[in-house]
Amino acid sequence: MTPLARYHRHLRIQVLLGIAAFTVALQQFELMFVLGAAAVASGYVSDGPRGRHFPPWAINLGAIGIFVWSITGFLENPDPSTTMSIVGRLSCCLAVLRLFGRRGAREDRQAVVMSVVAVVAACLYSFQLLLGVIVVVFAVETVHVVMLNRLRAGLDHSRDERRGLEADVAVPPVEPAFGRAPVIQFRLLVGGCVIVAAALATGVFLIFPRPSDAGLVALGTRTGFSPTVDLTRSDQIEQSNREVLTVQWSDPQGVPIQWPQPLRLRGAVLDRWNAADRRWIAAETRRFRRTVTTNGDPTDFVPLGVESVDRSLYTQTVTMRSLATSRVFARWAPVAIACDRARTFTLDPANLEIEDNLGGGLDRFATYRLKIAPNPTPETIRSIAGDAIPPVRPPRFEVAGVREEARRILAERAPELLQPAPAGDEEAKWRRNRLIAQEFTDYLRGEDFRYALDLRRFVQRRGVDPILAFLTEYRFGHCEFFASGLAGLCQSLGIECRVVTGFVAVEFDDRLARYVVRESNAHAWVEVRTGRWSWREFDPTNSRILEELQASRRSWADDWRWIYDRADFLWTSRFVTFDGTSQATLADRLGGLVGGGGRGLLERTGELARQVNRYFQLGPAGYIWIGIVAFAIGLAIVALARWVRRRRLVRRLLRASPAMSNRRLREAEFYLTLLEAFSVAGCPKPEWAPPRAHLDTVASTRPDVAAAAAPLIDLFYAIRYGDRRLESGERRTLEREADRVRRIAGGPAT
Amino acid sequence: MPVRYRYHLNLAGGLYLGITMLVGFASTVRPNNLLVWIFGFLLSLVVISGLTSGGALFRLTMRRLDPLHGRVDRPLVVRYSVRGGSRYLPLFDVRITESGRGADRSDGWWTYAEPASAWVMHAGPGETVHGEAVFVPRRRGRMRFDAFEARSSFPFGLVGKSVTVRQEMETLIFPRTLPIRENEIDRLLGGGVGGGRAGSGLGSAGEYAGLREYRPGDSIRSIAWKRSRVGETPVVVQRAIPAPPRLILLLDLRRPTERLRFERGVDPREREEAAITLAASLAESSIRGGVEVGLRIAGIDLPEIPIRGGRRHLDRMLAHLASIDLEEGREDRTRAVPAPNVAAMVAIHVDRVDVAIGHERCWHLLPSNLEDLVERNPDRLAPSDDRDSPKGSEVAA
Repeated sequence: MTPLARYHRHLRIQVLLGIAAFTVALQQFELMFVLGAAAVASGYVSDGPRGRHFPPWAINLGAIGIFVWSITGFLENPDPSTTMSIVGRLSCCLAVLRLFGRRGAREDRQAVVMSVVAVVAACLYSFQLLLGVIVVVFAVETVHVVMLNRLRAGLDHSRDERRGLEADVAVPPVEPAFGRAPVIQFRLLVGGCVIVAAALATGVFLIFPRPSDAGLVALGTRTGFSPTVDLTRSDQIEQSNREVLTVQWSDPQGVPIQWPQPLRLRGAVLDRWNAADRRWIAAETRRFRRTVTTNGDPTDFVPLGVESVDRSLYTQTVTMRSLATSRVFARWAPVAIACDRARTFTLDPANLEIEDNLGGGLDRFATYRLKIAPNPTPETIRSIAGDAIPPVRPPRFEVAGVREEARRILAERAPELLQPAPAGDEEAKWRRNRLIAQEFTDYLRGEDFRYALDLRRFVQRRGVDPILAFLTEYRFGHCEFFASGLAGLCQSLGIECRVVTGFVAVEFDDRLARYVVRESNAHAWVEVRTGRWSWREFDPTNSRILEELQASRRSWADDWRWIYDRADFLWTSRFVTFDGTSQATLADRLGGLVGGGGRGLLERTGELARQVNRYFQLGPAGYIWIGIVAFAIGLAIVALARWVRRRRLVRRLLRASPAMSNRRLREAEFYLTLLEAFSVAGCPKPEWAPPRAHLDTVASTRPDVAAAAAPLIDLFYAIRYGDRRLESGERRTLEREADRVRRIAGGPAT
Repeated sequence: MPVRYRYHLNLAGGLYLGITMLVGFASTVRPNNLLVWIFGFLLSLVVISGLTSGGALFRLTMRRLDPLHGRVDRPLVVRYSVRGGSRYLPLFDVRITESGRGADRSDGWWTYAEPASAWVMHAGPGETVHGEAVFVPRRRGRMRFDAFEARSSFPFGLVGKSVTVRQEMETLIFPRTLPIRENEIDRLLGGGVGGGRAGSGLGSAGEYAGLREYRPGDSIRSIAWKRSRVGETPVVVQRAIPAPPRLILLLDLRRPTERLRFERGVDPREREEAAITLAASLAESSIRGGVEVGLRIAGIDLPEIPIRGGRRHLDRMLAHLASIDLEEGREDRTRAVPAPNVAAMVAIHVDRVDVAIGHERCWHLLPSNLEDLVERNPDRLAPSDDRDSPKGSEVAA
């Protein structure tokens, strides 16, 4: 038994983990199957009993071939953003190829470095939970393999050195250390290194300087909510079926129901097209913003504007699964809000956008509830918005060509709408706006336009606006292009409208009576102003296509996502979105804990207890249970510490080797009580004195204690040196006898 | 023993730091928290690398164990006792090498052998282990060790740590020996010297040699009671003990190296060493064959070795030959020559035979005779001339 016994196996596992990390991050599972199978096969081919290896020239030739293949792949699509993916793929292939060659410690190190490069490349492209788990396991395995590699290098070096010696007689060989002790100590050292490294890495993670909105910037090129609409990207977007949240839609009686239409959950509202940056932005209406504060009770609604909450409203309950965001997704029009955490929300009354003030804070909400008025009256909106609703004025859309395109469409489909509404007839103006928006929506839903997530053929050209290119040239794209096209067409004709991003809930789970919202349900649509206090939703994306697309992406695995979506939420909310704001919050909390002289800690403990109680829904009696459990845990910790201390003392007293069994240590524990008794009797035993000799000393001052202890000391000798075994009953009797001696020692001398 | 601790930066550590900085840069440019954690992990490994092995290595205690003596072209195993000083951290992958302090010294170990290192794979907390370095000395003499260094870059090979301990030690390297054919030894002994010899002692040991009258002081146990008549002087049994053949080796080093005469291209010092090798080979083969051997060195001020047998006597003779310093001044003084019936004699000269220094039955040999005397055994390694040949390397491996 030597620490190096399974070195090759660990190296193979490490390479496999590197491949898994890379392929999971880039979703290249076919590569995982090919390279993984090859890596596993190397265990039988190269590291098996026959040990067959590829000759060095074959390895070099293969490496050159892979290198040329990678370079060719890059030259075919010279996109700098794909460079690291090519490097990662190259590293994976080279690492596997290296496994088939004749290897020393140096070649093994090369394979390790290749795997590390692959994992780093993977981390540049993804941050999902599965990758995180693989990376952590990979880090542990890498520490293990590198340490084994050091031992292997030392052994190889010594063997080579001895092999090179020329002498008249044979030179003694070098052998690695054998036995349990080296193996156990090596594993302990690996474990210790991993724990310390992980702790230090977490420390670096916490203090690493970050921007305050890193969590939002980090979102990658796959379906998912984004608070901005950016039309500069021309890449392929992956469909992700990850559950981000669930929505329960209850009628005024509180019964969960399925709404006849898809629920459009508004996240961000953008009303101005920035042609220079090619993205939709929100107009700053900071001065109208208001804050509302929830008290942590999910049943206690706080009105957003109206004085009292009408009980006839619908209730929307959102439970976060994997998405960690400060945005509140609400159906039009939210009237009141409640949350499971005490939070302060900011409401923009102009567009009813709600956001948690905590931003990238640590303690994100998990559930919030909203009272919704699906068809709000102007009075309701007025009570919420107040003066925040902008005055009616035609918007400006400064992209040449869009207005002409809009007029061309109207001329083809509804030439009567080209005529302006009669002056002074406000109702006619709103109706005309609604009709124009509907015409444009129908036009975009027509045969000429195609929904597509692969935008690689959508070439972005300087000087050509992507909205105009979408409308006139390419006529394909995803929902953001469709919504941008509709908003652009409307605004070019002076119709007030805005692009809204969020989720569209269409998948209703009958068993849970909830909508399940996935990342692929992220959506963008348009709200057109159809009255002084009213806005109407128009979705230019064909919903049938969306539903078909979603149905085609469904798999059996989606039914099991609930198992890890909770972990995914924690991962995303605590790790992925940890940014500068979270750091500041953490620093404040630590400062509060340290600076408050323990009061902050007490408050934090109380808050924690409240959260636990709320999570298990135990009610007021829950605090009693929490107290009992905390007391039991504390008691267990004290007992464990006492047991460990006694066991260490016994081990030291017996000068026991690590190999001595726990049973023997347990049998000799009564000796500790005896030593305590001697101390109580005023005759503490010096370390150098043998027990029997000390008993004579005790007999001179406390003969009663010595007489009681004598048979126990004899038994101690029998256990320690005579290999005497005790039954459990005998052991208990001995402990009782030792306690008796202690009581005698505590009493008066006789 | 003076101890010195040092840290060493190596190429692997530099490369690692470079990669770590790149990852740090990437995690700054591309805000991905997973990358940040990896960056932290990579950084923490540097810290752990310094602390782990430094904590274990800088507390260890080491000493070199005296290897007693070595022999030219034979492995000289130098052992190092290593004790981990940390209570909790075990030692792994420690390499111990002799340092080249005092490079100007002519008797440093590096003038005798190629560098060698001992490797200790594991030493538990507080545990003492031994590491072995195998030197193969290439010349005889007093090989001097000064300081040695324990180095480790475990666990990750990023930062090297070393502990240097100074412990002076001197080891005698015996001359090279080659096996001499048995019949050649017999020929040199002449066949006549040796056999049974009447011992001075009486008693039960040895072969029966005869009877003689009792002399005061004889043991009562040696009296042959049946032969002794009443009233007369008792007789005692006289016994003979086996007397092995005896050989005296006379190494003639009277002429200084610079006055030796050889053909051009022959190194006189090399021939002197060959003469010493011949003497050592004859001594070893003879003693192994049961011959008692004595050694006298003419020209060097060293005491003569009396005629004895046995392994310890052989070591004494080899140590004597090893301690010959050819740089010393020579004396043109002839050693006393014993009578031919005392022992056979072989005089070994360096450049030419001088019959004056031996008795009339003395053999006179030159270093060139060694090739004729050496046992031809294909299993043994080739002599030193073939050492550099590929075949020699293969056999040695």
